[in-house]
Formats: sequence, C-alpha cells, structure tokens
Amino acid sequence: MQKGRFLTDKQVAVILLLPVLIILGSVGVIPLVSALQMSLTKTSIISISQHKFVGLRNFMDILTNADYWQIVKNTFLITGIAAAIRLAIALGLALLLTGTIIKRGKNLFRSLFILPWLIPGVAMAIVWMWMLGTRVGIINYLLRSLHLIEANLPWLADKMLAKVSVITVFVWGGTPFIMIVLIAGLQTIPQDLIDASRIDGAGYWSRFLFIILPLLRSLMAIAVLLSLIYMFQNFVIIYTLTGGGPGIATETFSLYVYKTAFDIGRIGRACAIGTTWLMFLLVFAIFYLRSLTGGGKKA
Amino acid sequence: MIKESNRTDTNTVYLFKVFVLIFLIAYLAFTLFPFYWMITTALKTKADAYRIPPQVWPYRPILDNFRELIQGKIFPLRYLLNSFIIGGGVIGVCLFAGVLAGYSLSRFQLRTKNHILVFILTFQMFPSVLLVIPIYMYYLRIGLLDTYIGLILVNSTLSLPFSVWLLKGFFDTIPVELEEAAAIDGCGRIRTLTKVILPLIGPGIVTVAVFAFLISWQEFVYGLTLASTESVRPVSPGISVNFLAMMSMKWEEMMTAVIALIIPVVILYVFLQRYVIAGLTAGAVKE
Repeated sequence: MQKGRFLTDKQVAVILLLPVLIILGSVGVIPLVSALQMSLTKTSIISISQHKFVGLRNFMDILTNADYWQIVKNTFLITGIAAAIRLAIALGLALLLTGTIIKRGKNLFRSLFILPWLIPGVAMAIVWMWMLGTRVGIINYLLRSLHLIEANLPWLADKMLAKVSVITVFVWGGTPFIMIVLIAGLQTIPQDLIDASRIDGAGYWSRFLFIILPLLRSLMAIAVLLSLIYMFQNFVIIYTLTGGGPGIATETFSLYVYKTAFDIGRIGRACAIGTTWLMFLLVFAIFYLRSLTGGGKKA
Repeated sequence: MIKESNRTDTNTVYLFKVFVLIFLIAYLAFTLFPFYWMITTALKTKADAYRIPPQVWPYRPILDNFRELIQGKIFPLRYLLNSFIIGGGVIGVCLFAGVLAGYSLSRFQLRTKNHILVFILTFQMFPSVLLVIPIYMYYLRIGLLDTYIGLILVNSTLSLPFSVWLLKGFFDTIPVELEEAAAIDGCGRIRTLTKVILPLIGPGIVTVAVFAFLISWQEFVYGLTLASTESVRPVSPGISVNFLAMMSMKWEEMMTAVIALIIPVVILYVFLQRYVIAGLTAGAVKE
C-alpha cells in the first residue's frame, strides 16, 4: 500500500490544510500585515492607493492626543466593569441552575436565560436604545412609576449614564454565554466530592469557597477572557446605541479606528490606532493561551 | 449544641432562599422584558407607540406593521435574502475547509500541529474593524466589493477557527482502527472519509453549520463596509443603514424590523437547541 502512494502522508496533511490556510491567510493575515504597514504611512481615503511613508509620526500624534488616552480608559472601564458584572451574575445563575435550591423548571429557566445571546448586536442595541429614550423610553417611565427616580434620566445623552447604558447592554447580551460555560463546568464536578463534603459537615458557603471555586477557576478565567476580548473589539453595540457619544464618552478603540478611517478619512492614522489596539489585545492573547494550555483540570 | 445551630441555620437558609428567589425573578424580568417591549411596540399603531406616558400594554394591537414588513415597506426584503445566501456560503466554506483541516490536524502527526492550532485560535482576536480597512482597499481594487463571494470569504474567517477546532475534536474521538478496517475492505481515503467517518461526526457538522450561520447572520462591520448597495447588503448592517440614517425614528417600524431580524435565529435555536449548547460548551470545556 505504501509503495503505490502518489503522495506522502505529510504532503496529504498539508494539502488538506491548504483551504483553511489560504482563506485565513488572504483575508486575515495579509490584511493584518497591510494594516501594520499602513500605520507607518499617511494614507487618505480619497487617494487610497497613495501611501506616503512617515515613520512613527502617526504613533507620536496619537500617543500625545488626550482623546486617545480617554478612549483607552473608556475601553478598559466599560469592558472591565461589564465583564465583572457578567461573571458575578452568570456564576449566581449557574449555581442556581445546577444546585439543589431550585427543584423544578431548571431547563425552562436555562432556555429563557439564554435568549439574549441569540440576538444580533444590532437588534439588541436598537431595542435598548428605544427603551432608554429619555422622553418616550419605557425604562424612565417604569423607574418613575416605582418612584425610584424623580425626573427622566438622559440615559444616552449624559456622559456617565451613557457608559452605564452601554455596560447594561453588554451585560444583558453576554451573561448567557458565561452562564452556559459555567453550567457545563459545574456539571463536571464529581458528585461524590460534594456528597463527601456534606457528610463532613461543610456548610454551603464553605463548600462553595473551597471546592467549587478552585475547580471552576480556569473555566471562569477563560470565560472572562473571552468576554473581555469580545467586548474589547465589539463595534456594533456601541456604534448603534450611542455612536460613541456623547462626545467620546462611550467611544472605544473599535469606534475610534472606524471613525478615523471612514469618517475622517485618515487611514494611516486609523491603522496606527489599530496597531496600539493590537498591542493590548496581544496581552490578552498571552493570558488566554496561558489559561488554555496551562489550566485544564487541576484537582 | 447541634439543635441550636440548626435553628439559626434554618433562618439564614430561609432568608437566603428568599434572596435567591428575588434574584432569579429579577434577572428573569430583566432578561425577558426587552422581548416583551419589542413585540408590544411592533403591535402598536404609530400614535400609540410614542404616547407619553408609554402604554405598558397595547390596548389596540394591530398587525399593520407586520403587513408592511412583508410588503417590503419597512426595509428591503432583499436584505434577508442576502443574509441567507451569505450564511449558506459560509456554511459551505466552513464545512469544506473545516472538515479537511480538522481531519488533517487530527490524523497526521505534523510537527507544527500545535502551532497551527494556536495560530487558528489567536486568529479570533484580530479585530474586524481594523482588518476591514485594508480589505476594503483590496476588494475595491480587485472588484470584490459589493459581491457575495467577497462577503462570504470575510465572514468565513469568523467561524473557521472554531469550526476547525471543533471538527478536529470530533475526529479525535474516532479511532484510527476504523479507518484501517475500511482500508482493508478496499476503501480509498476519500471513500473512507465520506462513507465511514463523516456520518459519525454528524453532530459536529451540524454544530459547525449552525454556528457558521448564526455568526454570519449577526455580523455587522464587514457587511457595513464591504457592501455598498442593497443588492448584497446583509440584514444586520442593512437595518442600521436604513434606520439610523433617518432623522425621525419610527420605532414601531424598527421593532418590527428587529423582530424580522430575530425570527430566523429563534427558529433555528428552537429546532437545534442541543447543538447550539453543545457547541458553546465544547468551545470552553476540553475533554
């Protein structure tokens, strides 16, 4: 059988990988390298094929721009808070849906809680934009009816509230994913461990702290990391909900790059911003890979 | 001694359970209310939709908005067609490239196997907003702007890494002996693949297809930038282009549009729920 082979095993293996490599290479790697290259140039969207090499000028311009640092802060703030809230709620839900406190209907609850994850970002943002409207929005109406607020709050027009709104939408849309991941993790915890601890007299709280948390740690880390990465690059939700506003209160890297490239038309600059963005993402990537290969099942 | 601590225990446990119940109901309300509001708004007349104070319950529900939706007056129905075509294309690409690559990575001992896997996984982190800039320029030059193929290609990059990774996992579960037995029976490599192995990883294929479709359905950035006319524009950026460009927001129409956007996804989920959850958990919990 070996002798009649037209191609060696290794060659076959490589050939099978070609489609993936070609696609990811041409529409992924090459654009990435292009973007990095263009960050060293001055390119305008009007004369798109003319690149004027300017070295690190773009970077110096950006890094000395106050707006840039405000946007970095925004990105980390919004992303970080949303990720933390998501994790907290998802953990609570996951524990409830795999624990003993709720007797029936666990599957129903799970199916209901997962619904937001299916909703495309555009849809989510549009619906929340409608609900958060200052005068016609239902949220203000409900809050006033419950006497929680006096007057209508400008959820999308105030610098602080806009951030809260964005975080709310991220939490609403992303918690299901983390919940499902944590449920899966919780279901892999051997029941005998839990039973043994019960016999030993451990209360719910200590059981949680000393058995469940350690075993879930790597899973939680991965879930949070994925969450952070997703929100760090997300464009559609903030673009639709606030457009980055008011001002640049909710503007993150993704919007900054987009606006600089397509609204202002300074492509070289946009790519430079994007390159710094990639630096941050690289840090996340390292953490992500560490927890994937290092983590796993550590009892 | 034990009796006493039991008594305070029961009290705190009771309080805890009440708190838990409140948390559960509150979050359930938070999760489901937007859906309720979306649907009831779509059922309202234009006057009722922006009544101040808002009607919590639609007193005069009408189906006019849905009629206009089907007539294409709310947004071009072509958008939906485009999303289906692109989604189908992405499924095709992901299955074709994914099966081949997954098989290769699973079966052949390549020295760089781990590197390729790592490369594929970190790939998911490249932001589309940044990549779209050179892709836009490139497509403009070679004429792939505003084409189905162009969009299918970029959308595939979003699901390919996951598809390869998932399918490789499935291939890993099939013992090599099976292939050897098929070879002895006279099957060439390709016949072995199609007749013996593929049926066994059926669930994996469905999961990949569902994910590929869902992800391309939701995709926004590429669709917004690389489709300049209605003829190819998918529905997610399409709704944004049609509505957010307007000065006056017609909310009852927008809610109807949103429902149109969501329905295919919900239907898919109802029928293929198992695969969606299986895919999600496979993505995080490694066996």
